[in-house]
Amino acid sequence: MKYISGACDSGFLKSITIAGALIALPMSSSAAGVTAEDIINDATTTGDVVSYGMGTQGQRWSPLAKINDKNISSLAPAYTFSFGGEKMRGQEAQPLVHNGVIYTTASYNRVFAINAETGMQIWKYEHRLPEGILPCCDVVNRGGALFDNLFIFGTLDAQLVALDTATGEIVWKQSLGDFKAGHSSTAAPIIAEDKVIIGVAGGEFGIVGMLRGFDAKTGKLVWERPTIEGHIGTLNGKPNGMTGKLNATWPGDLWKVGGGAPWNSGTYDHETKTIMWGTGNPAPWNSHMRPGDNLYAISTIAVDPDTGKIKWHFQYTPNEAWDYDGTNHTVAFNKGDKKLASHADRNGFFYTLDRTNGKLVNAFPFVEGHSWATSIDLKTGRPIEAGKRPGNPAESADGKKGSVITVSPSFLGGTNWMGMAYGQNTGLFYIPANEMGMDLWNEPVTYKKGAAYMGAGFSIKPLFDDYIGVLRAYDPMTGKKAFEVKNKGPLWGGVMATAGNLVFYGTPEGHFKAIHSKTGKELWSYNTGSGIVGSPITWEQGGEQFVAVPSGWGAAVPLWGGEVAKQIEGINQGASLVVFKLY
Amino acid sequence: MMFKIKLVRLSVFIIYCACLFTGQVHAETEAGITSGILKFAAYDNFPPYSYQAANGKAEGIDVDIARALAEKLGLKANIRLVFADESLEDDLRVYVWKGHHVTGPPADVMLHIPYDENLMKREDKISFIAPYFEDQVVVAADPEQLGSNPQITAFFSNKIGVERVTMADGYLLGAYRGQIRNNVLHYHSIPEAIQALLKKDVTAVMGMRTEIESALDDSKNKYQIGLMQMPGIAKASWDQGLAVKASNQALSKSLQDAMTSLINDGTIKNIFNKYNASYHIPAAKINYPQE
Repeated sequence: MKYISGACDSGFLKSITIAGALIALPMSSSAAGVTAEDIINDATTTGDVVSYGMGTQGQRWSPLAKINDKNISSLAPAYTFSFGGEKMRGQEAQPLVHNGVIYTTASYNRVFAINAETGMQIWKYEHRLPEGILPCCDVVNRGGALFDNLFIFGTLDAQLVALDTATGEIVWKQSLGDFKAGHSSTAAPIIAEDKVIIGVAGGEFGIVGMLRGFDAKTGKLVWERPTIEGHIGTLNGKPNGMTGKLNATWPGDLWKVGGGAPWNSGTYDHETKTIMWGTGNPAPWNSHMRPGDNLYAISTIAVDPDTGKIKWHFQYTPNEAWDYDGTNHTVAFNKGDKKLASHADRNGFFYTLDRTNGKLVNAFPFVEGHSWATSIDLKTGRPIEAGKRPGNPAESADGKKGSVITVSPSFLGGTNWMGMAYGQNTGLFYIPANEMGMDLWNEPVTYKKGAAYMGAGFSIKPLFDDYIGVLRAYDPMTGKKAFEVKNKGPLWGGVMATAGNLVFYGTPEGHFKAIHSKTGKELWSYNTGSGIVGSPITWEQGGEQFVAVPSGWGAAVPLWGGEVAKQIEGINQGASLVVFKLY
Repeated sequence: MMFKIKLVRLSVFIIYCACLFTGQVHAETEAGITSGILKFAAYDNFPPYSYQAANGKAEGIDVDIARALAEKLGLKANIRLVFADESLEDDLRVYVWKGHHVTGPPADVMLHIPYDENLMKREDKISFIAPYFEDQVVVAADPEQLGSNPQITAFFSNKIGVERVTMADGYLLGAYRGQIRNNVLHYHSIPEAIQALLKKDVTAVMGMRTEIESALDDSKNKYQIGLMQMPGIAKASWDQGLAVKASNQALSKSLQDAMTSLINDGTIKNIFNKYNASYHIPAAKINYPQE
C-alpha cells in the first residue's frame, strides 16, 4: 500500500510543551546521560531506575528500606500526575527515573517527562497513529528504555522511536515491521551493553517472531534473530546463520508462517552476557496440523547481545495447543555460586533454569488449575500431559463443532505479561497469578476476512467463586509456597519487592497494596481511583524514598466476555501516575 | 461514553455525529440515512474485492457494488477500507455495530460478509442481508505439470500453494491423515500464491475462486480451475452478503431491494466480469424479512 511510507514517515506529531522550545539541542548532554554502566548497575543504585525490570536481570527488587514494614502506614501521595486529555484506557507502563526526571509511556503511545519531585510536566510526546490501525489488545505501552540522552520505546504501528530526554524530540526512529500485516510493539525495549533490543508483536496474524538489536546511540540495525527454526538471522546486514535446523521440529513449510512472536520484554544478564527472551505460540493454532515440537515457539531463547546468535533455549510447551505464549520474563538471580533464571509461564508452571546453559533445575505448578499437564519431568524438561489436547479437526470434518475440552489455565495464562518480583532478602519469587480455566473446541467453520477457515472456539471462566487473581510467594528451589493473597478480579500489573520487607502490587479494583514480604500480611493500601495494570517502581531523591505506580484500567482484561467480565464490571477508567512518599 | 449509549436507531447516531462534527443535518431518506452519505466498510488489501489503487482511491468488485448500491438509494457512497481483525466477529463489532476507541464509530454497512445461518444465530446485533454471490473453494491446476483432471490425491507427491489460515490451508494440512501436509506451500495472499504457480514453484493453488481467477488474469485459460472432490472438507462454498446493524431495519430493507435489482439487471455480474472473474449467483434464496 502506498500510504504506509507516506503516512508513517511524515505523520509523527511532536507535542513539545517545554518552556523555551526554541533552544538549540544540548549537544553536550552526554555528561548527564545514562551510561551502559548505569544500566548494568541499575539494580544496586537507588537514586534512579534506568531499566525495565528495575535492573536488567528483571528482579523488580530495590535495596531501599527507608519505607519499610514499620513505617508504611505513613506512606501517602506526594502528587498525582494526570495523563489527561481525552485519552485514558489501560496504563501498563513501568516508569523510569533519572536525574530527578520521571520518563514514562502512557496509552496511545504517549510519552511524558515529569519533574520527579513536583509532579510537573516537562515535556510530552504524542505519537500519531496511522489511520486504519486496529490494535489487538487496547492501546497500551509497557515502557521505554533510557540510554545516553535517549528515551527509546516501541509503538503500536511497529516503530522504534528514540526521543531526546531533554526535549522529547525525535532523534531517530526505525521500522519494526508493517502494522497492516499485523506487526505491532507494546513491550519495553531493553538495553544490553550498547544495543537496544526489542521483539515484535502480532503472533495472532501468523507473522514470524523476530528479535532485533540496534545500536542504541544511532538506531542502526545491528542484528536480527528470527525465533522460528529455518529462518536466517543477520549481522550487519549479512546472513548470520539459521535459527535451529530446517524441518527438525516443523513439517513442510509451516515454519515460514510459524508465529513465535517475542511480544513481551526480555531480560539481560551482564554476568553471562546473555539476553533471555520469551517467545509466543506457534501457528496455525491447532497442534495436529504441525506435528513436532515447533521450536523455538513457547521458549526462552538465550541470545548473544553482540551477534544475535542463540546460545541455548528452553521450550516450555512443546507442540503447543492451548495458546500458552511463553513470553513471560525470565528473571536472572544467583543462589550461592549458581547462576539461575526463573520463569513463571502462562502454562501454569514455574521453571528455574541454569542460565549458563539452559538446563532445567526445578519446575512446579504455581496455580491450582493446571489440568493440561500434571507435572514437568525434571530430567527431560517436558510436561507430563493429561490428555487435554484439543482434537484433530480432520477427524471431525463434518462441519460441526468439535468436542469441547475443559482445561486450565485459560489461554490468558496462570500469569500473563506482567513482571513478577524476586526478594533478595527472602529468596522468594512473588508471582501475580490468575486462576482461570477455559472451554476449548474446534470450530471447523470460522470466518476471517470473509473466508471460512478451521478455527477454534473458547470461553473463559473463573475456577473459584471467591477469587481469580492471587499473588503467590514461592521458593524457587524447593517449590514451597510461602503465602498467597487472593484478589477478586484478575491481577494484571507488575510486582515490586524491597529491602523494607515489602512487596507492592496493584489490583484491577484500583488498590495499590503493600504486603509483608515474609507473611503476605497486608500492611497498606491506597485506592488510586482506577484499575492498576502497570508496574510500580521506587527510588530515592533528596534523602527521601519515593514509590510510583501508573493507574488506569484497560489492556486485554476488559475485552473478555462471559463470567470473568462480571468480576470487573463497574471499574472506571483513569489515566494517572500516582507518586508516594512518607509523611 | 459514546460507545456505551444504547442506540435504538442508527439514524439517531448519524444526527448526533453530524451535529457534532459538521453541523449538517439532511432530511432522513427512506433508508434511514440523514446525511446523504452511506458509509461502507470494506476490507483493505483484498484484491479483486477492495483495495487502494495506485491513484489512492478505493477500487474493486465490492467497491463498485457499494457505489452501485448507494446510487440506487440516491445516496453518496463513502467507502472506508478497513483492517481485517482476527475474526469476523471482531470486524462486525468494530465496523458495524459498536465502533472502536481508535478507529471511531462504525459504518452503516459492511461488504463481503458470509451469509451463514450459524452466524445469524450467534450475532444478534447484526442483520445479515442481501447475499450477492457464491464464493467457492476451487483448485487452479497446471495441466502441463499435472495432466488433465487431476484428483486431490495428486498432491501426495506434488506441491500445492495456499494462502495461510484459510479453509484450503487447514483442509490440506489435515486431509488424508497428513499425507498432503509436506507438499503444502504457504503464501501470504492468493496473488502471491498465483505468482508461484506461474513460475511453476507449485503445480496448483487452492483457494477462493474469484481471487484466483482475477489474479491469473490473462493466463486464466492455461489452467484448469474448478471444484475438486475434497472428502471431509468442512465447507467448500458459501454466499457473501452485507452486514447492517440489526436495529437499522429501514436501511436493511432498502439495501436488500437495491441488491436484488442489481443482480436481476446484470450489474453485479458485469462488475465481476470487469475484474476478470466469473459470477456465481448466490445459493441462498433471497427472502426479505416481513416487517
